[in-house]
Order: sequence, then C-alpha cells, then structure tokens
Amino acid sequence: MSEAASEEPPLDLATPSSPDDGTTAAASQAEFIQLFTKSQRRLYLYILTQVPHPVEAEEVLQEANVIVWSKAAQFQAGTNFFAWACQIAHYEILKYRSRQKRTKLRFSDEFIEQVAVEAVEQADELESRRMALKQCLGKLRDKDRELIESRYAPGERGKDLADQIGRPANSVYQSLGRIRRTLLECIQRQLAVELRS
Amino acid sequence: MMNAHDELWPLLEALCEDRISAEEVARLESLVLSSKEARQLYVRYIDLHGALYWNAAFAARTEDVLPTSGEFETSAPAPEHGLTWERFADSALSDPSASDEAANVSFLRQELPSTLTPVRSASAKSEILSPRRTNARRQRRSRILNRSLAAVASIVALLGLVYWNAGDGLRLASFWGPAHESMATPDGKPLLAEHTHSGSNSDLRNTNLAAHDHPRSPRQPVTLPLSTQGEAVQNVPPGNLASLGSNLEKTGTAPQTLVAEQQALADEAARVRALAESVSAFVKAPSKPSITLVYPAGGLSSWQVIQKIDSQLASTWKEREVTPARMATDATWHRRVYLDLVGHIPTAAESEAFLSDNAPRKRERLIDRLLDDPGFARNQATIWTNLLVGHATREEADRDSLYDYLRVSFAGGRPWNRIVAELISAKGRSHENGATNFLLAHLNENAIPAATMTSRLFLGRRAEHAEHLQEAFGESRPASFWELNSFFRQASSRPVLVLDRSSGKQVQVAHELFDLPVSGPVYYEVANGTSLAAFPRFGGQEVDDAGTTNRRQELARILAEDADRQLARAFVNRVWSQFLTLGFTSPVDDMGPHNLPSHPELLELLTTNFVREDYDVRELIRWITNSKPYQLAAVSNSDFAGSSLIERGEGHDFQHHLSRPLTLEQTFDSILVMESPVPGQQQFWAEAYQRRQSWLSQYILPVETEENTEVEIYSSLNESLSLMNGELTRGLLAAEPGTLLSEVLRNHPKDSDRAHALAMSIVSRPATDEEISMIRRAAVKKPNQLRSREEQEGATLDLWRDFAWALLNSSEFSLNH
Repeated sequence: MSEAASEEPPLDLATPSSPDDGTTAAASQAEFIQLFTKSQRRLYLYILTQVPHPVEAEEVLQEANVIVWSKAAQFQAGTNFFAWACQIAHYEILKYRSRQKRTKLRFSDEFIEQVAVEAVEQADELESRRMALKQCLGKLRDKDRELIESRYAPGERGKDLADQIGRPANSVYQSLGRIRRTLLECIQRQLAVELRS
Repeated sequence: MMNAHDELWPLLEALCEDRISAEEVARLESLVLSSKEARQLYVRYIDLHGALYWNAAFAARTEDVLPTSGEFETSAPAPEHGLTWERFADSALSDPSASDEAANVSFLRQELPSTLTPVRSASAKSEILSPRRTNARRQRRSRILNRSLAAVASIVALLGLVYWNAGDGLRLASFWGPAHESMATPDGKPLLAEHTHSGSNSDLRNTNLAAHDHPRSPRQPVTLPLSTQGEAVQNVPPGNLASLGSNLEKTGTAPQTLVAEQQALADEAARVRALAESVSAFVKAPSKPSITLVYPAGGLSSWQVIQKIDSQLASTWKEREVTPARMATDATWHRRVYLDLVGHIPTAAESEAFLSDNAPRKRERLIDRLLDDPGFARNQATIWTNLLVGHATREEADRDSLYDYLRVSFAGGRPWNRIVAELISAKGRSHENGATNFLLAHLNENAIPAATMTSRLFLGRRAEHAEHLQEAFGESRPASFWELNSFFRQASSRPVLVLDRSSGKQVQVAHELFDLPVSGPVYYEVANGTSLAAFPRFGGQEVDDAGTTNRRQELARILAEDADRQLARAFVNRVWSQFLTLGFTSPVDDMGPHNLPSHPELLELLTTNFVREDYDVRELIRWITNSKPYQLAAVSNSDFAGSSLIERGEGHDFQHHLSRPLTLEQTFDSILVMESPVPGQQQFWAEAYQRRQSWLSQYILPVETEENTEVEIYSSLNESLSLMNGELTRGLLAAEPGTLLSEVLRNHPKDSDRAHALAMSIVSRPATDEEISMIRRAAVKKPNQLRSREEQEGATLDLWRDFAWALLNSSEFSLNH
C-alpha cells in the first residue's frame, strides 16, 4: 500500500490511484506529460480523419485532451499511450457527432468506424509519411511551394488567397489540389526509397 | 494505386477546401467504404492536409526536436501481466536446470492430453522462442528510444521553462479556457493578451483537479469549456482551489524538473491553443456554443441528492422498524457494481487493485470511473435493446443498428426524453437510422405492440390492462389505449434493397420507416359489438387528426415535454430496479392507482431531480449507485430473494440488497473477461457482441403476438449445467495454454496462490481459508496413491479444474449479489 493513498486526495499526478505494486502503476507525471505532449499531432490527425474539418477536429482534440488529462491516473505505464488516447478521442468524436447531428455535411457512423480502423492500422506508416512530407515540400517548384505555404499559413483561406494573388478562385483550388497530389506521390516514392535502402 | 481513384481526387480536394456538397459527401463516403484502397487514400490525403495545417501553425517549433515521437509509443512493449510467452520460455525451456517452480510448470505442460496441446517438439520450441527474441530486440530498442526521449524531453522541458518565463505565463490558461470565446475573433488575432492572470491560475487549478479522483462535495456552479459529461471537474470544491495554489508551489520545491515539465506542458498547451486561434479566421467559427454548467437555482448537487435518498430511507426504516443489513464487503460490492454498470465481472487484477486501495471514497471514485467507461454505454444499450425489441427481433428491425444507436446515445449523454422522442418519431432506413428499429419491430398487428410497448417501457403503464376500465367497458383495452395506438397508424414500413457497402455487390434487405398521410380515428370494437372511434389523444392533449399532421412527431413532443413527469418517473422506477432488483412498484411497468409505489417520496425525489438534471441518465445512476441501499450486503446468497419477492408481489424496504441471477449477457461477457483478462479494447467488445448474439440465439424463442413477447428457454439459466459444460467454459478450464486454468497453474506454484488467483478471477474475492485447507487436504491425499509422476500431474490438473468448476457453478458466480 503506498503511503500517499491514505492521505487526503492526491494532488499531484505522480500518485497512482492504485497501489504501486509494479504491475498496475500509473504512469508518472513526467512520463505522462511526455507522452501527452508528443502525441498531440498524431492525435489531431487521427481525429481529423473522422472529423474532416480542421477547426472542428481541433475542438474535438481539446475535448479529448481534457479527458485524457483527467484520466491520467488511469493510464498504465508501459502500455500504448497513443492507442489509449485514440480510444478516448474516438469516444469524444462520437460525442461530438451526436451533438452535431443536424449538420448538413455529415459522414455516417459506419464511415467513421471504418476510417477509424484504417487510421489506427496505418498509424505508423502515416508517421513516416509525415516525415517524408518535409523533404517533399523542399522538392516542390518554388511557385508551388509558395502557394501551398500561403494556403496553409495561419489565418489564410483559399478564397482570400485567390483575391490576393489575383487569380480566379477555381484555378487556385485546382492548383492546390494538384500540389497536394504531387506531394502524395512524392511521399510514396520517398517511402519506397527508404524501404529499399 | 493512385490511378484507380480518379473519382476520389476531386472529392477529396473539395473536402479539404471546405466546398464539398452533400451529394459529394455521400459519393465520397460510398467510394471510401467500397474499397480498402480508397480508405487508404482517404486517410493519407486527410493526413497530408492535416499535417500541412498543423505544421504551418507551429512551424519549426518542436518538429525538429521530436523526430521519434511516433515510434516510441508504438514500439513500447506491452505490459507483462505475468502471462506472457516470454516468461514461460524463460523458465521452462531456456533453462533446463530451472527451479522446482519452473519444472513444475513445464511438466504440467507436457502432461496435457495431446489432442488438446501438441507435445513439445523442436518446431514448437522455436515458435515459442521466437517471440521472445523479437521482444528482447524490441525492448532493447525501446530502451534506446527511452534514453533518447529522456534527453529530448529535458530539452523540451528546458525550452518550455525559458519560454514560460519569457512569455506571459498564461499559455496554459489559454489551453483550458473556454474554447470559443476567442474563436469568434473576427480578425483572427490571438487573444492571449486578453486573458487575465487570475483566470489563468484558476484554469490551471482545474487542470490539476481534473486529473484526480476527488471527493465529492456540494457542487458549485463552475463554468466549463467542455461537454456536459460529469467529469471530475464539475465537482471542484472551493476549498481545494485555494489549497491547490500552494500545492503547485510545493511541486516547485520538489525536483526542478517537475516545474520544467509543468511548463513544457504549458508550452504545449499554448501550441494547441495557438492552433485554434490561428485558424479561427479562415474557417467560420463552429456553431457549437460553449456549454456552461451552471446549476439552476434550487438544484441539488449529486451529493445532496444522495444524502436525501439516504435520509428518506433511514426514516422509513425507523418508521417501519426494520434494521438495515451491514455494508457489503468491498469484494462483493466491487463485483456488483461492475456487473451493474459495465455488464461483466471485474478482472482479477481490477479486484486486487480495488481491495488494496485504502484511499477514501474509493467506491465513489470507482462509480465515476465506470460511468465514463465505454462499457457503461454498451451495458445500457444491451439492457435497452432487449427491452425495446427483445432478444430475438422481428426481421423488419435491425437489432444491431438499434444497439449502436443506443450505445452512442448513452455514451454521448443524450437525455432520456430525447432518446424516447427519437425512438417514437424516427424515420428512414433500419440500417442507417438505428432509432427506427423500435417501431419497425412493433408495427405488426395494427401497431398494437407499438402502443403497448410505448406505454409499458416509457410510461410504466399497462394501458391494455387498466382493470377498472376493463370492468366498466367489458373490453380488454380501454379507449386511452386506442387513442395512443392511433398515433402509430400513419407509420408504415417497406423493405428496401441496399447494396452491401463492404462488398459493393451483395444486396441486403433493409426496412424503411415512413409515414402515410392517414387521417381520422381508429375504430375498435367493445364486447357488445359496438364500434367506437379513438382519435389521437395523449396526456390530455388532442392532436389534429388530419392527414397533414405527423402524429408520431406530435406524440414524441408530448412525451418529451413530459408534463406530468410520468416519463421520468417510469424511468426512475425502472433504473432503480435495475440496480436494486426491485422497483418502487412490482412489476416496474405497471404503475398506477391500482399499484401504488412502495416509497412515494423517494420516487418523487428522484423523479424531480432527474427532470431537473435534464433527464441525465448517468447522473441518475450516479445517485442510485452511491446511495446507502446499494452499499448494503445481501442477506442470503443462495436464495433468489429478489425473484421470489417479485413472484409474491411483495414490497421491500431495501434494508438489504437483493441478489438476482446474472443475465445471459452478463454471464457471457464475464466468461470472456476471465478468458482474456485484459479486454477493454473497442474491437474486443465489438467482436464479443457478435459472438454473444449467436450464442444467445440458442436460448431464445420468439413468439409473435400482440405484445411481441418471447420466451427464454432457461429462466435461471446459470443453474443449468448445459451452460457451464458448453463451449463457453472450455476456454477457461481446458488444459491447453492460454486458458484461465493453465495460466493460473503456470504462474502460481503455491497452492494458496493458485486458490487465490482462481477465486479472484471467478468470484472476485480472495480464497477463503476453508477452501485453501480443503484443497491442501485433497492435494496431499491423491499423489501418494499414484505411481508415476505423470499421474500425479494429471491429478493436480484435475484437482484445480474441479475447484474452478465448483466456483463457476456456485451461486456465488451465478448471482449478482
């Protein structure tokens, strides 16, 4: 029996809620924060596959973060943090969806389930793709890189972008689509090269 | 791979630029569902989109510092629960001069009948050894990663510290603060500067508090940035807010790294927050308002409601001169609350942890945790699917789809009156809108079952049996029944063919629930042969009988408004019985002047507060499971006290707990939990659900009548040896590795530990001294009479199998007590 447990409610994360017998120890605070911090992007991207709207996904991420944080004591050190957090996120996604029932653009539950499975399956590969993305951005033509960078620059949006550079919105959208496609193909090649080497 | 999806590209592009139409969404969805390749592309495309977005928001901040973030988590070894192959290989195979303990295990293994387990051979050996090698590699790798991560983390922490000090110190606050007030900034500029210092501190405290199980105390109005779910945050006691500040300082005097980590977190929080802010200008702000949890004047906190329940019952006990039973032991209560809240027994590890937890309010903390467990929603959905459409559902209804609808509804905290309204007014296809299936299952026989079930399940009334009316009219069903029935006369169903999305070829039959513009009354005959007309009227409200009125929508509205609170009262009554075996009336679905509640004040107390809490199912259950009667011991385990009371139609003062048999679902799921002690994954339970359905089907016989009843072949099935002899217990008691029995024997060489482990797994309590000494006597006796070592081992296995078997067949297992 850990000593802390008999005191008033524990106030720091390092105190596990169950006795520290080595098998069911909660992660230490330091460990937890580390895992938490490092998984933010992955978790965000996982949510985005199911709530395919950057801001809404962000909202769900925030809600999931609060839950992840509040359940810190339940997390078992040594288990897969990302998988654990994904479960919480998935639950938050369902909650979010049930609140947003009336939205016009909406995927079905089946779709969400399938995509969630796929996203978990691909989790590792996606992480390497994210690494490869960096190099691929460097390989883009200057003009294309500028365009995609301004598209994703904080506070930017496609239509304003079009006004700004004086091109019709449709043609900007087309270019963006083409560049993303180029990036995807580049990433694919990049991974193939890495596999071979 | 990329060329196969010409149609997918433009859809994905439109999705990412937020200019996709509803038709395109539908098309995208069907493409993505139709092939694995399309799903891959979808996930990759969205991931690219999101990565560009995320990276741009925090360009160059931590990207380069954390190159291994992904790898670490996925390659971290799973926790060893003492049941891994590696350990077996270590003790039994790699080291021939192993201790007695290991030798014990290895010959046990050899002894297993060859039909069940292949005798160890060279190839088996290599199979066993290989995972160990892989694992060792993995562990080495993760150690390296751990080291490098530790280094990285300290860098991050240092960076965070610098950042924290240099910055305004408010970044964490922005993370936890209400998400939406700043999202609405028209110019999209970060609003960090607008946060006040005090605001940040209190938010920081919330953060810390949220991370803990806290003693419940009178709830204060607390503004929350998150959902309506009862997370710990809402119960922040004001006193502790102050003390937390000092606690933070305390942490500061402790290792410096802790402070640094706090600030690394603050930094990260700022990052997350900054993202929200940076994007707010370029996509319209989401419509969801931030939810504020302010309790209406006159509302009671959870704690106050629980106190009131207890004091009301206490005075009833005093009045009626009954003495409450002692408190249930922790072990018994722990098992009880698992069965009741998540539908299966706890694992041995969970029970151990609970029993050795000496911190205060552990029952309350466990309830809070289980209410948030996905198992809670699964269990509620199971119970209500059975109530709404039965175990064996008519083919018009898609049972699984209803289950999913309910699961999501309970998980998302949908108010009960809204769920009822949705079930009553649902439209669409059975597989797409799960809520349609309640009525699809009951539209036969002129929708008589629909009216019967609505009345019973949602209003706790047997409209068809109102006796005083029967006598007056000589008719089995009173006018009010037909008036309710007439609300369902527009509802129709038709079969539709749908493409099976996963294969893209197969055609399945689904059913569509829709309304016909039927007008006018329903005619029914009374005993003397006269025809009477019944117009749609319910709860004192009459709706227009024209064809243009959607009657089901009107009924849903009236039910959800719940003017006389009967919807709430009936639900409270049923939920009370779900946890305390008996409701305030017996049966629970027959309330009325002829059958008055046993504890009217208590029923009203719960009903009033349930309505006040906006029909919050979790909250109601939180009250009941925290209340005194739920903590009490059952007087007798062997007697089906609850069932016999119901049969006798007698009331009960809840002065002791009433045991009842496990349901079929609880039995099945509990055995799964014993079989694989670390379930919990969504996938695990999704598969378990399918297996359970097919297993259950052999025990259920549907009978299509005006009440769509069904027959369970075994009413107290657990007494039946056929259950325990079946395939189900094979996974527990067979000699092959991986079963409960063989794992326990392998991991515990000592008799007392074995008895303890089996008792913990099966009946969720430690073995008694009596049991241990009984086993010792049996174990000592046998080997002497046996010649060979082989026979001795066989006898050992048999002995323990008998013990486990006895536990499984005891009423201690088969009852929820």
